Amino acid sequence: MLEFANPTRFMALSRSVLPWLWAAAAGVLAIGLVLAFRAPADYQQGLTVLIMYIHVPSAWLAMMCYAVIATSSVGTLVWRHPLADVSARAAAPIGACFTFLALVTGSLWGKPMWGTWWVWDARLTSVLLLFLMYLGLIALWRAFDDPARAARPVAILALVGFVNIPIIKFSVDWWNTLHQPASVFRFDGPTIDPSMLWPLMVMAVAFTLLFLAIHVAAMRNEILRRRVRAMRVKAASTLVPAE
Amino acid sequence: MSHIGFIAAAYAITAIVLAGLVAWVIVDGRIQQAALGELERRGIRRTGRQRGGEAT
Repeated sequence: MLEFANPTRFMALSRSVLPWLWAAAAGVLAIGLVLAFRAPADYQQGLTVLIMYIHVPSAWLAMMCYAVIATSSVGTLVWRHPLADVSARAAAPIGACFTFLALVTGSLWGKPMWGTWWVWDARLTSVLLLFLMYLGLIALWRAFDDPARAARPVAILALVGFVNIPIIKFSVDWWNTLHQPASVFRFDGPTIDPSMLWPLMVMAVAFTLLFLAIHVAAMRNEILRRRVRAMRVKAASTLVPAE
Repeated sequence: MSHIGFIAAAYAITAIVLAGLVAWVIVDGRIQQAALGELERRGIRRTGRQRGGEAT
């Protein structure tokens, strides 16, 4: 497994897989958008429920992306696998973008439905904290010239920050929030009508495929960036006159 | 009940951010490929590069 996951093999494998991932993401996204816009309007919210089909997948991806970073961080700390750090670093800006989208689309949904753009309730505040965690991880990576030296401190910070993920998920159950409780992943089954649930699930698959495609492409870029850096260091060292 | 402005803004911002992400990975990939190609043209080789491996 670890031998298979070396950067050279990853580059060869991802080169052939990536076009299919892009095509699948575009295709499922197109189907999801058609289904979303053909879904019935909500009896209370009207057409404003259309925001759900982008807000909910963005929020799921915001958390899933952090789970990818946390899993990769375990790989960095336990096995010191070079691809693990590459995976975490490539996922961070993508996760930040999905978290930003969850916050902005949630705010645009909240204003007409709740009458306010923002409240400091547990769900909204914990998601804002997730966004700040992403920015913190990106800043810490960029604070080191050598990515190999940044890997362990960033991995430790990422694992500490993972405590926020269950807080986000269960915040609507543990505290009294303006945000509604979970309506899809519940022990007693989804409470959304199937006519809205299916477009939502297709959009969630589309966003996941898009994340996978962007993540694999960003991982390839990160590997190339490290190769370029290593070659520049090597080139610079040959220019230093011998003592 | 219709809030077309809120719906349009949500979809527009999502489209801009996701398109920006896709554009970023494509442009960044081309920049890294160009930098690697330039270094290889100067005769600099990676340590531990496998024979027959991918040029990148």
